[in-house]
Amino acid sequence: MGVAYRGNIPLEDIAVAFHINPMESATESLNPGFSVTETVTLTGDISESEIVRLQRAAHFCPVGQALTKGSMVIQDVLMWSNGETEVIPITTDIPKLAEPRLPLLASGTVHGSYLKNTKEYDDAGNMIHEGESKVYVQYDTSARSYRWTYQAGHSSEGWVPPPFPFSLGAWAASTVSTLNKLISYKISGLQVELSALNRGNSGQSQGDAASGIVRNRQVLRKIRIDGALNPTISQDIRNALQYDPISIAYKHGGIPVDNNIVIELKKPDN
Amino acid sequence: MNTLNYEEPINVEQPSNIIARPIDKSTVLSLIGTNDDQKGPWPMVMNISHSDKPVVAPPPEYLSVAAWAA
Repeated sequence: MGVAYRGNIPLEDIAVAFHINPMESATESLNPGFSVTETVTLTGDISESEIVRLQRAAHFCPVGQALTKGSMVIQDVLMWSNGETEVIPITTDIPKLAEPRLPLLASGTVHGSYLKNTKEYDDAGNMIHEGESKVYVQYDTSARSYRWTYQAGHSSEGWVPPPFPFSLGAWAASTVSTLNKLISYKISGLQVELSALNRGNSGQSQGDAASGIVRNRQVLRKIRIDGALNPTISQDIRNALQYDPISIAYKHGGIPVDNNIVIELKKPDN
Repeated sequence: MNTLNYEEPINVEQPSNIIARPIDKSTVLSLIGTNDDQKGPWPMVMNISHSDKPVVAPPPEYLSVAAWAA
């Protein structure tokens, strides 16, 4: 919405649906374990060139860039409770993964719709916050389907998390999840923390999205563990981190997006 | 491959804005905005991915896409 506003594109409403397509994670190659099929619904009297701009903006917003363009620069640090720290060097070496493996995701959908009434304007009528979105998540296991609702967005009151920190929350959880699944013993005191080393702002992000600019975002990922530095545990953690699905997307070029993007253009009801 | 400037020291003491820890064997809690004294923090529970066992929350991959949808 912010890109449309700044570009004077008459976008009245927007909704997006992602179908999650599970993929087997390979041990010799890196894939994040899923691809997505994206469907975008736009409402407004929008030209073909404006559609192209909005389509590009969706993949170049901060979260889109992180997931599909490998824009994240990640510095990992192991922090032991006795005060010792280890900086993990960035590496291209992919250790061969022994059992256990990460389980296959179930398929499902993520559907986002814009809450138009949450846009905020200043006294001069300029939009200062793009507002919030409601997101429905459906997860379809072989036993049953599950459904949840979330909200995220930009507002002055901060009732909901902004999208990029929301995505980082998922990544931190993914890291914990991956370490728990791939390391056969319990890691005492495990906690994953993230802090941004260079923070962007809304205007810059929207400018990048509109222009198709990939802007690297540097993040410090701290992995806290109880005890004293243990080389075996350190190496097991380093190996497991290479297979974290979202880290793979962030570092190695992203989640595959099926080219079957359908845009439904609706003229507003006058 | 993204790179960092290794000449610059890393300040590991800088406060973290996102914290995640396991709740039990199958769930993880993330707190977003722990370093913001005016907004949040916002908690999110996620399931460690299981394709055939009962879940109480979506896996992290789904919420990363949810953030993109938002």
